[in-house]
Amino acid sequence: MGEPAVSLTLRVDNVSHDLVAEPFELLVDTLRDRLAKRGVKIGCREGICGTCNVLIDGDLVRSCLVLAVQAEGREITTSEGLGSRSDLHPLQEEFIAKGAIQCGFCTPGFLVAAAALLAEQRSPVGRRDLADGLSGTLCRCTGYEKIVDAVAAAFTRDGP
Amino acid sequence: MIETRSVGRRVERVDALSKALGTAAYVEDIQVPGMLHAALTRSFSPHAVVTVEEAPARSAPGVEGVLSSATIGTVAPGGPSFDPACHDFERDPAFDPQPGDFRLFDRRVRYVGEPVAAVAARTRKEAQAAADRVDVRYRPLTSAVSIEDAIAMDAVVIHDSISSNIADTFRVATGDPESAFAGADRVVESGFDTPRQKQCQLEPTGCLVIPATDGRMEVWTSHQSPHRARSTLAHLFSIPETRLRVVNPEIGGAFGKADALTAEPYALALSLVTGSPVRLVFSRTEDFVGTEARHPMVAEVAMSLSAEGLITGVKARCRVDWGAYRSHSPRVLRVIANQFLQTYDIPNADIEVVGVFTNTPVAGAFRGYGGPQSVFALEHMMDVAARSVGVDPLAFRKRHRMRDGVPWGPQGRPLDLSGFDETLRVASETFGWGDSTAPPPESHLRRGRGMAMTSWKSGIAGKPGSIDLSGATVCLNRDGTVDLRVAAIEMGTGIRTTLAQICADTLGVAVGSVRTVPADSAATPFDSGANASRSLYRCGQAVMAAATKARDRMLASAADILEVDAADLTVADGVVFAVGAPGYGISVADLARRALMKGVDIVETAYTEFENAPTYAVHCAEVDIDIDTGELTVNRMLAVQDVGTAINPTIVEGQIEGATHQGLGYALTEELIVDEGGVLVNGNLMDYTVTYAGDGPTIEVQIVECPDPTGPFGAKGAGEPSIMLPAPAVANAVLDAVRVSVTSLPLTPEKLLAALTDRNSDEGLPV
Repeated sequence: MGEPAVSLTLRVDNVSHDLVAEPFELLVDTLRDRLAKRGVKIGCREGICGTCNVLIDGDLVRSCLVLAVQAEGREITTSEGLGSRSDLHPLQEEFIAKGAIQCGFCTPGFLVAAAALLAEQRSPVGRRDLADGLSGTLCRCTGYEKIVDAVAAAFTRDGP
Repeated sequence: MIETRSVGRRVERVDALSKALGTAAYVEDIQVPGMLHAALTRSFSPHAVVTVEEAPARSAPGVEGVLSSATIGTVAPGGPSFDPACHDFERDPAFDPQPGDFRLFDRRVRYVGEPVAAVAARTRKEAQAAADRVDVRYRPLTSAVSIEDAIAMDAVVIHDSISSNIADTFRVATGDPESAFAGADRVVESGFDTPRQKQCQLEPTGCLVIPATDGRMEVWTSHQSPHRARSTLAHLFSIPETRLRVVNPEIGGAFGKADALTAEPYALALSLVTGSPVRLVFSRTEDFVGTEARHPMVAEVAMSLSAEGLITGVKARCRVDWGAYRSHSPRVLRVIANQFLQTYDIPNADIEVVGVFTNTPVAGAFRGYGGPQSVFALEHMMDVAARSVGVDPLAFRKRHRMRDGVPWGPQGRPLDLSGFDETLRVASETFGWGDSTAPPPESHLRRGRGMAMTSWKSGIAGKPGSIDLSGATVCLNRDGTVDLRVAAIEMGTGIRTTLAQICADTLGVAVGSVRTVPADSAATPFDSGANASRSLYRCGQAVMAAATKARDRMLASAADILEVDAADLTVADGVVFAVGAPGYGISVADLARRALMKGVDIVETAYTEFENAPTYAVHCAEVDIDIDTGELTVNRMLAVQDVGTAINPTIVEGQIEGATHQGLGYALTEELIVDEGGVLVNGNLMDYTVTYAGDGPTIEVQIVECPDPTGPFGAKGAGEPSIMLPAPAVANAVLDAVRVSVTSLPLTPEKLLAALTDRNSDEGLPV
């Protein structure tokens, strides 16, 4: 509304997109509304629930707390960038196998958070550490037990 | 005898892959050309007569439609009141308005956050900006935001059609409680206070309405009963029921909040008035204020005990905050009362529950539906009573549990308690109830253990004013697959998968060949909805009945073709063949094709509405309490539940773990606070405090399977009992650890420390 538009290039899930956005547009809105990244969810728009989690240059970020322009020139990864129908990420496979998915609304955000955890810790860690590491993303269906099970299984696969 | 192939196995959920890929489409993910975005203007006042000026919003950029009290009559003639919990038009075609029914854009608002205008605009931002420009003038009325204020002699009356704010009183009395108390050896009593809890499903509530090319209005919503939503919406807008199609997209959790109409009437009204598709999605703050919460309750409970240490009577006086409108409250009130008497054999009882209107957001359905309030009070009183007579809480519970064989449920069949006894046995052995407790690791910690148990019905058959009907249609396709048409609501529970398992095993086909059609009032048979732990139990019965009929059809037609007596045929892996001659058969696909050539399809429908099944659950908790700070840590949390048959153990565990986690939230952190001006103090996820993965104990689950003869493959509902038990189990562990009884939830460190300080001063100990 009256704000000048800005042109920017966003690199999302290994693809570059030239687009026009509002100066104060939140990254979550750009990803959903302009790039149709519907796996990025909106649960609260205030940085608490983690359903809009993405990786920016490998760091776990809530895309409702950054502007699209702040992400220019950096590598953005959504859950869609983790795996595809024909080539599932080990975390996606384990979430399915372990029953970590109920309503599914938190799932993409959890997959991204777990991917960040997986990337930073190479040695197998205990259940309690995994649960702490996943704190920051909310689930209201599972009680977290099967989410932790799934991430633990992915760690075991990925470990030394 | 039906051979089970997928029942009891950890079959992969049918919706897991799309959810893992992020392609599953929830209300906010569906894209429609020409769609408008809606926003609501909400009241700033808890109680006022309002005058609304639409003009400033109408002239705002991008606005296509505005509705308020001045204009709602154009789409809802007469501005009728309606029941957000959905009147059962199927049972009773006439809707008899009741005090406290809701009205779209009433000229009087009764809580902060009540919608006073709705706006549709081209973008989300334009809609919100225009909604903020609606000019609302308030002529304030005195308000009553607490139960005490609302029942005071001089309280303002919130609904003019009744003479006070006492909305309803329900009383259950058995035996002779006055004599029991008069002749008691001792009486134990306590006051209880339970909070307003919010579902906090991760998906904010929303609704998308699409005017379809065939003249119908499509309503895409997470509503927990599309059929009942359809009839109430049709009545509200004076349009034929079949002009509405109510459909579920993927649902991002509900837990009861979507068992009431909230966003739907506004989105539909705006779509009717603009002729365009309209989507309304609540902000998280709106979700807190604009969808229904668990009822807060205050109660006084007393038990009389004989010299032999037996409970002779129970009395309870409960006051329940309904919020500003009626909705589910009359039914919740009755569950609160009845749940005091579902678990134990207490000969004399007098339970009175009073519902009170207040100028606060509406309370309604939330997993447990009144159970958590009374189960907390009752189960804590069980421990207080057990301690007063010096009996172990487990032994005390066993001594008083319901009697076997008493007539039970709508058909009066004898109650079978073997599942209860087995659940108690497994809980006590798994937890090591009789074992001595290891001392806590530090001297300022005190350790204690507590338990709680309950029975809970799956289904609501036989309840006055309730309809408990589920239908299922099984259709054999000519490619050998099966369509299962059911309006069971997949709000995350796994019901689509579980019902597919029941269908597949009944028919004798692979579970992967059954496709469960999402709930759609235009395509699936009537269903009362996903509530009361009923979907698996009740809808599962319908699926089994419909699939049995379809199987009989298959066998009869195969008998003709194969020239074998139908009694000598069986079905496995999608092939009908002669018993003992697996090579001599015909496939389901071939049968469906040949049936069509005779001008028929193999499609069978069945409805079920009978009986309920009793479920049983026992929880045990171990806590450490820091006596210097009041900090409470739950070390162990064990949930044991009898589910009849675990059709899919992974899904059942998920239900029990999730319910237990929500119950721990009710016990320890969750309370939606309304200030004296009627404003939610913590109506956001930051301040309301739903816990993260690292914040709580590991939840241990043990499934007990004592099949119920009326359930599909013996299954009973699994979704609710475990939300009711963490709070009393933890409170009883606190009583064990530090000998103080904390009866106000949540059990915060502040309350614990205050109780410890009181105890120490009572006992003359240093504070």
